[in-house]
Amino acid sequence: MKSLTLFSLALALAGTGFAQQWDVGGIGGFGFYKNVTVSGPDGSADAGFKNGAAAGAFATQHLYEHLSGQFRYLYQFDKLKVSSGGAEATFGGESHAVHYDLMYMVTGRDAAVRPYLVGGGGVKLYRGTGEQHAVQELIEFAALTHTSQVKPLVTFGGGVRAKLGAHAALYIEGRDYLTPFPEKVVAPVPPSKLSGWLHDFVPLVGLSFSF
Amino acid sequence: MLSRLQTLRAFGPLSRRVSTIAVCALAAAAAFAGTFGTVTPIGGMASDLALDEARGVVYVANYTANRIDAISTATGQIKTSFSVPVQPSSLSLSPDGRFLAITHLSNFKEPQTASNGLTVMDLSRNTKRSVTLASPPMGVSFLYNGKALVATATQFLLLDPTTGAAVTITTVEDLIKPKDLPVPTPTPPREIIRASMGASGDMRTVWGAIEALDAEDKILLFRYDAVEAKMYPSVWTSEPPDGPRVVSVNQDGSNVLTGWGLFHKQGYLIAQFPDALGKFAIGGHAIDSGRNTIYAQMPTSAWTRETEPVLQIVDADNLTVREKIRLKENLTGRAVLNAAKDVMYAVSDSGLMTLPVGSLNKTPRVAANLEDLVFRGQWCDRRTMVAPLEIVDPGGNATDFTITPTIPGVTVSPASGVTPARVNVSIDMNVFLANKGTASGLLEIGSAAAVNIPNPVRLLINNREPDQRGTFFNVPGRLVDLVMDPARNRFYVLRQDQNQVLVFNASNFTRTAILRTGNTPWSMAITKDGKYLVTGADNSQIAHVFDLDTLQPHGIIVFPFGHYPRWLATSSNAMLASVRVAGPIHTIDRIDFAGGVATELPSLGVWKNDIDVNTALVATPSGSSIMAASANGTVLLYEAASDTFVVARQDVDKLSGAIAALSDTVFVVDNIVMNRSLTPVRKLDTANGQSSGYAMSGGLGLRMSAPGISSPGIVQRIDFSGSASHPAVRMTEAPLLAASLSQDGTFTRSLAPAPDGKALVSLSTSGFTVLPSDYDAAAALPHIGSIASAADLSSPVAPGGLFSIGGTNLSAVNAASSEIPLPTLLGDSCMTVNDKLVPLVFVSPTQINGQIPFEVAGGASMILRTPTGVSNTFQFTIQPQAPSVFRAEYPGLKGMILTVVRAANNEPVTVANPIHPDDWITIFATGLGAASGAVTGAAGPSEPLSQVLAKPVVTLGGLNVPVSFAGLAPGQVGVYQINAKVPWKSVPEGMSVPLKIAQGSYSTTVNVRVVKP
Repeated sequence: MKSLTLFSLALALAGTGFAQQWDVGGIGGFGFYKNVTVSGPDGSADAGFKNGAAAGAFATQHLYEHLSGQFRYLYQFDKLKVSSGGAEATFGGESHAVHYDLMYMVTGRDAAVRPYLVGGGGVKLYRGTGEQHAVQELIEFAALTHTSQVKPLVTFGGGVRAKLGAHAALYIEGRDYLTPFPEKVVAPVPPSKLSGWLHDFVPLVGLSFSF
Repeated sequence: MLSRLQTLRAFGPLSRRVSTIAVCALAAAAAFAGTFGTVTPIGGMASDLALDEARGVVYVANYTANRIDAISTATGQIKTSFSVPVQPSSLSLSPDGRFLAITHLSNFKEPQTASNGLTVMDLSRNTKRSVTLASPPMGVSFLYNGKALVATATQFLLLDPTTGAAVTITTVEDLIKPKDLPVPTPTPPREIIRASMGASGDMRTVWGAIEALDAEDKILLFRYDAVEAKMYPSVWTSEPPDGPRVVSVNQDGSNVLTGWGLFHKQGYLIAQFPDALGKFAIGGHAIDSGRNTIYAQMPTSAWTRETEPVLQIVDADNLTVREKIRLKENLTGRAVLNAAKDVMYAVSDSGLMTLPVGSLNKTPRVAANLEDLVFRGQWCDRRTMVAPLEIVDPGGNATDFTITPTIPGVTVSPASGVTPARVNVSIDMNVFLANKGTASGLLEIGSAAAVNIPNPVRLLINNREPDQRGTFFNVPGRLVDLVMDPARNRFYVLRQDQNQVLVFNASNFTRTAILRTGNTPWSMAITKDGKYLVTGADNSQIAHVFDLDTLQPHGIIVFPFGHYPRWLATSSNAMLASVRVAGPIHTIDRIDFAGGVATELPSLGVWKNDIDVNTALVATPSGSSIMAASANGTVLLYEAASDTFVVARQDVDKLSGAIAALSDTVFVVDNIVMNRSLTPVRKLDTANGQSSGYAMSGGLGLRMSAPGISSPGIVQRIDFSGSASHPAVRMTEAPLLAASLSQDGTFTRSLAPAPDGKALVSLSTSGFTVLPSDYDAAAALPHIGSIASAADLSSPVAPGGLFSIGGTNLSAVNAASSEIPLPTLLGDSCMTVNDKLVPLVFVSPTQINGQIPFEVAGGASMILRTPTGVSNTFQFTIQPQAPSVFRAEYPGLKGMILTVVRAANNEPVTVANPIHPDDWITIFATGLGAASGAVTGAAGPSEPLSQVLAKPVVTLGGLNVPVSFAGLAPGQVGVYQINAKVPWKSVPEGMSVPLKIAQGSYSTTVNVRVVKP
């Protein structure tokens, strides 16, 4: 976190030499996970993460009239979970996503409202932070683990950038963060198996300083 | 004239042996024990005494100092003495206390002058009159009418003390010969006089005993009935001599105790003291009819000059010993009780002994509250057994005591103290490993102050294995015969040492009544009509009859003089008795039940009625015949139909052991089976030891036997009509064996089926044993099929490790133990490895868990013992070390989990609780082998900790995990723990990382989940 913050500041300082070339800001929202199915001899369960708030920072460089590039860090309060048949086990957790995206702006650079499409990639670190116990509900499906795992990240979505003033802009967007499932953090317990990507749809609202 | 010679004989070797034991015990305690009574020395040797309560004195005839010493009953001091003519030999005080008659037996040979005569002292007028007699006086005794009966060597006279006139009642010719004086030193007066006379309490009868025919084994025993004015004399032969030569008469004169024999006025011997010594001048006695009590010093044949004098307090009807009291010195003649019967005065070594018999409760005594102390142990459980014992003074006094066990392995705490006290008797069961039946010993009780000789407590220590059948019921005493009463659902047990028939309910085996028999009862028989029980006794010349409906005495059977009935048997037309006869031959007598008498059979058919003294009789169930078997090997058969003996054979040189007439055609003695001609037809194997009893059950015979008294008993069905073999089954304890009864060889009848057919009853070491009649019902034997570590059910086993065996019929029940130390007997199953008992954790029909003893290693043999039998011998190998990690259930988790615990949360490692780098983990395992301070079956110590001798090496995914401790888990049995620290770096990660524990040449690997932070 400390290194990311410094990096953001560096970007902000670097941007001071260009007019309206950069947006630097913060963003927040709420993540909605689409978890995976764990299948075992006793049935199946939904394994993954509970929905949770997200917050982060970003720096957008308006490279061309209709193309921008954005670097983003997003933190999510992500409780690990496994649920089946009305039963649910949860475990403290979090994730950190760092990614770079390209944004296609539908309108021109000076437009007050700029709808855009965004897509990019990066990494996402999943961490189990809960208190570990020998017994966990639904352990026959998956173990919610006090450990961490980094997964490659693909993200895409769309939104709109609205100018609020000479140096301010509002971002409203929705994204899907896709990673392979972090099978160490939410570990399928043999013989149970899981497969698939983990989708995390996050509506976000951000404010930026433009310069 | 007297013409009849009658005989009696003291008891033989059996009682002598018993007495020897008692004397040894007595001698051991004698050195520091208290004594009873006070002694008044008279400065001479006393020959007789007379009690004058009105004047408060006892007159003691000082035979050698020629005076009468009047001793104060209040002070015990000589009040006055008055000289009398030489050798005052007997005294008698008239009923009104006015006259004291004194005989003088001074039968000197020429050239010295004999001066026999009689003096009558008028105590009221202080005068005396000398009476000259025609022959030496043997004794004098006043009668209720004021006359005195005087016995001389030739006459019985009736003396009027007021006039000195004497009337001859009868004459005696050539029968009595007084000893000539002088006699060799140190012959005591009673050995010289050899005569005694005594009056009944009502003074209407005088009894006397005088040596006859100049032979010490002959006595003229006479009874003078003063009311009838009639003399009843008889001459008896006795062996040993009838000493002490003292006559004691009961209140109404119906009974007399002369020497060691208690006679009835009708001429039969009621009872005799067993194994009496028969010395004329050692001992004495007195009868308290009101309390049915006799006080007697009666030395046994084991007597020596060092033998401690003992006063026995016995029942007056059958001489059953109640209590034994140590005396200061020997009694040497007459003893009398005062009117209150609470003080006895007796002629003694020093002169007079005063015994306050009514104040015994004020005198220190000591006794235990139990006759037997029973320890129902298990061979499989060698923990120390403890039982309490109360030591009391019957009078409530504070009396010192000591307790000494006679056998090793027994400790008493405290071993000494003051009454009342409770002591704990502890048995180290390891000492009794060789005894899988009931071992016996004694707790001898001593006391410095107590005057009594306390009965030792019999220790009975049963050490059965689980497969030994039957339940024993403790019955103290010497049990010698068993008879079932089907009509009343009872059985009767003869207790010989207390002269009792014990009546037991045959369904619940509780004692319901006690019947009193003659002295030393030998056998029982029920009359053919089933109404009466008859008991024979070896120290009574009568048989006792009991009404079985009322359980009350129903008269007696009087046997011929000198005949002691031992074995009784009832056929359909006769009741016979084998009889020990005080004479040259022993006989079979026939009982006339209606007439109450028995008569010697003139012959046994074509054979002389001359049998071995040890001859047992048994009747067939139908009553068709009676078999007699003798210790000399002779067998005889009485056939009821022909009313005579039809068979007499001798096919062996000796016989003893079990005897039975199982049917009209099957007879058994010991291991010899005979047909109806008593011809041996089969010899049963003797592999199972000495025979004890036979019976029929379910169409088959039953035999009980045992190798020894402390061995298990053996019961086996016998097919007498074929040769089918039936398995021998071990019983809880040994049945009654002939060897425990007599050294002479004798016979036992110890087994009888209960009337309801559900049980078998057998006399046994501790009392009797009850065995289900289907004791050998088919039951599968236990079988051990496999063995593995209890931790993972796959690894081999090591010393101290917990194991699990699989098999069949391993236990009848499921049972688990949480005791520490672990029991070696659980659910009636127990097992050994190389003969070492195995602590058990859990038993079930198919699995048993336990601990391999630390003491065994290498090739091993495992044997399981259960109530159904003994298993196969299972061979296996015990590794020096064979670690294996426990799997255990954990709340909330399905299945078994490894017992690897993370110290971080003190929870077992699971997929939900994986190992992390830098974790401390504790591995709970078994099979790590020898450890310091380890004790089989006991928990691992905590201070100091027990560490394994071969430290294990632990790796996680190949990475060494340093071990800080490996040893027995404190407080747990067979469980080891390994404490290890997972490194921080290079820890392999995974859902299934191998955790390996290597020790010596063996290792075990389990898989655990490891994650990084």
